[in-house]
Amino acid sequence: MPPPDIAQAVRDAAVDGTYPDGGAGRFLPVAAVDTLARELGCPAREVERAALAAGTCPLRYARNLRAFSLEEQARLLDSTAALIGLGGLGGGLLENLVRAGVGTVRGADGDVFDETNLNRQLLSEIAALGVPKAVQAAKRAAAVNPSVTFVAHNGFLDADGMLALLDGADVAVDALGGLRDRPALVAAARTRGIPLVTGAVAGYTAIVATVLPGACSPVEMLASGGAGPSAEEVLGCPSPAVMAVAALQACEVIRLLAGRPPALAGKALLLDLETMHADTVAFS
Amino acid sequence: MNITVRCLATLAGQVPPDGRLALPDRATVGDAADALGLAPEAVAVILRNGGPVERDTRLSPDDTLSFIPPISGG
Repeated sequence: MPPPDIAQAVRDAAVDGTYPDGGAGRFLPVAAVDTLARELGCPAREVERAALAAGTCPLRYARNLRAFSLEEQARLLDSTAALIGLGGLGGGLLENLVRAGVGTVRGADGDVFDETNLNRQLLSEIAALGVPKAVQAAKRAAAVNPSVTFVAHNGFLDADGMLALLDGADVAVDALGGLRDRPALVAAARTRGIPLVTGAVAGYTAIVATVLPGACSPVEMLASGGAGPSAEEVLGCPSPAVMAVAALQACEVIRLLAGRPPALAGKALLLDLETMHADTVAFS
Repeated sequence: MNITVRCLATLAGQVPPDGRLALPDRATVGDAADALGLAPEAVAVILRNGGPVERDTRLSPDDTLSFIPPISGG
């Protein structure tokens, strides 16, 4: 339960301002969120929720509007995303979800950063070589938006681990590289009855899809067909393609968490970034 | 008949220069793949006019076929 005086405290600390379109609004600066959370002894997210309930926009989210309404921003803060993989796709996804104000992000990866990650993985840097990806992700999330609760799982997940990570989550996000663990994640999301937003990259070819519970995963189909090497083993994973897919997955995740219908349910967005050709493909 | 062909990722080099492929009437998706020199094991998914198809699917004039290799990077 939020402290009873939180609404009044938020009203007192809010300041007048304008949205980018010139419309007047009331805003709660980051410093006020932090101060109120400490004074009231509650999580910063509760302060932001109370602000949104009173029609006050935490200033950090002001440029999210009017892409989202205040009500949708509140829904994002109340939501939980389970992010499997904190490498190339996962780093870009974490950045987007944390900045958007997704209230709880559970992130799992058992890997540590190495030099081959530096070409594309947002969370990797020279000083983080050898550092667990989950540890680095937690640092990044806290540095960007401490109102978000980031629950780090520093380990690779087996099928039971995926089920546990997805328990109570609103959406599962596939940021895995390679094929090995993807079928278990599709199965776990199906068992939990939550949508799975998935993506994969090979060179400048990319795919993004949303798998509703019970539906087949186009990425699983794409990844499992054929008997030759996966294309990314030949073509690599260049940064622009990885970042693009992470951003497109984040669009879909945020749309779902805001309470909107997914744009890619039963469909896959297939991108050839070499020619900038895009297709939306129906999978059944 | 003539169809339009797109080959993604590692298969990109197999596309004819003008992206068009001439095939006998009643040709199948597999015939098109063979004409392009695409080994079955190199292809994960084939799309005909944006929807997944099998190799024995019969083609129609001006179909667009997309050949996609296994993709799972991240």
